[in-house]
Amino acid sequence: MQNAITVQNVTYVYGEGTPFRVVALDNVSLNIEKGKLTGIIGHTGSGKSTLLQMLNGLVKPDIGKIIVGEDDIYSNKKLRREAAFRVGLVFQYPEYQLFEDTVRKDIAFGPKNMGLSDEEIETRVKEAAAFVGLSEEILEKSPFDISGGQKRRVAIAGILAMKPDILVLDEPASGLDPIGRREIFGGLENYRNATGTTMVIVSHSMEDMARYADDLIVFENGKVIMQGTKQEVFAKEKELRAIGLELPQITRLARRLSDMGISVSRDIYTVDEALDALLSAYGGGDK
Amino acid sequence: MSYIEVKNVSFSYEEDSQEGKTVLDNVSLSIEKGEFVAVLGRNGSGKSTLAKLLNMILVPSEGQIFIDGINITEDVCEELMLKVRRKIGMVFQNPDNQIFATIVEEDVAFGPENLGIESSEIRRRVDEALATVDMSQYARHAPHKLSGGQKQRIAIAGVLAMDPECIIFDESTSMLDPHGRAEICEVMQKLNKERGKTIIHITHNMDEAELADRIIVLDEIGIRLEGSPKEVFSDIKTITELGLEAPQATELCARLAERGFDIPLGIIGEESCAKAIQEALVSRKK
Repeated sequence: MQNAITVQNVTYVYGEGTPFRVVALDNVSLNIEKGKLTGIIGHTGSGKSTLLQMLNGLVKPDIGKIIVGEDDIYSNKKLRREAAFRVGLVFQYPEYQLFEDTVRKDIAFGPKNMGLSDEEIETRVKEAAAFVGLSEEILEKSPFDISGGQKRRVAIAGILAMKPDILVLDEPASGLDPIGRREIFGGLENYRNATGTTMVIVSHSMEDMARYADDLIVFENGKVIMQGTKQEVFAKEKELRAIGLELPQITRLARRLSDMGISVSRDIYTVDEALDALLSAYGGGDK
Repeated sequence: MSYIEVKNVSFSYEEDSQEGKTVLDNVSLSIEKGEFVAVLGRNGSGKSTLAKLLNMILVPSEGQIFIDGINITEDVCEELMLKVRRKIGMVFQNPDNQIFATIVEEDVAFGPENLGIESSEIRRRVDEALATVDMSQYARHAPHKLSGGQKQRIAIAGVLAMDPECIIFDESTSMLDPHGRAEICEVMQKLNKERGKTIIHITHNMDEAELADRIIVLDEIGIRLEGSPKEVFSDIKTITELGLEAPQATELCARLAERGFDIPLGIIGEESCAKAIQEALVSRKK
């Protein structure tokens, strides 16, 4: 097992010395395994976003270390600056940050700043656009004339085009309808299958986490309260419920059926998995 | 006549040099006083446009809208607008865009103050509104320190202080975490059941839509499905075609039924679904 990111005993306080002092992260330690998709869940204000900003050099911990690969990224200026390219960060509602006059130029902005050749930039823009399902035709449009879901994918493609070692996304599908969500996560899955990039995704959607994540980390009040594989974390159903996090409905249904003596696994995360499990145990139906 | 009557309404957004983009095309619907209605549909299907038409933020290109018997599409003037907005309040998506005062209770008082209501009555309304959303203890707090769910509850209190008959929630839960969502859904149900407010909830979340008396599903051309949650979620085929998803347990039941299992359509909730699946499996064994 190799870690892409190690967070060691990190503490961060907002407004130190003022009446508004808030401990955003309280002695947080965690590992992000290389090649895995790690989901981070927890309520607003639990410290997730502060942590994300630390991973790519934006916010320096008050105490503790952020280690990307082998490097303690806050140990010197050069490593800290490099982290911005090694760890690609997609903020929440990234479509508000589009600004160029064509989609193509917007996606090219990051690679351009990396000082790549025009040829290399063009290749990367095309590849990134293809991963998230944006056609050639859309590349020529203004980012302000396309749908909300497309804008979101343009913003993500802009980060993919920088080919970061680690991709970090804050609520990438928030506010989108079910098809829009699937387009975003489908694109990320394509990219991951093709490149093996380590991904860290913050989401409030337990359904999406159940479907896509390998590992899960649960934050509450600035502390990591659970971390492990999806199966390990979802096994703690009661503890999750106690902090207001419900397992996906299909997982709860499968467990209820299992409790009723029906032969179905307790680790069911999608409707397809549930259907397959029941059909294989009870036959394919009368038709 | 129903409390809200939308008759053959069309609406197009003007786009420079191009033809206008039609988002609602000859839509008719009615909503009764005291009803709890969920409106579903993909991004761009006209849900928010419909909400804005009911609140007179927008005026239809064609057709008529009646609120409590008043035609709000004829002789549009400021007086009519004020009248309609006292009847229909709106809570928007982003909790950070709706609150501007530096103290919670001042924010809640803003609406009634603008209506020219006497100060003792304003005091009473603010206290009552904050109590209804369970935020009395935060009356003198600064809004920016509150959680998303708490901010949305303050926004709801601000609307309640105007004492509207109907409240439209335009994706008001979409930016909240699971805890915040649950809080807002609880407030909606309370306002509907205990205070008799008509509730229109625009959402992408099917579990939230289950709470409504009636679901209306919109797509680019108009209303595609309408009925009780049970009726709407029975039609998995259309739901899927429209790019939406039924609740997971309901979908599993429908797909098992498709494969020949004896399960009725439109079952809602994991408990009922589990029971139906168990019965179907038992009957197959015989």
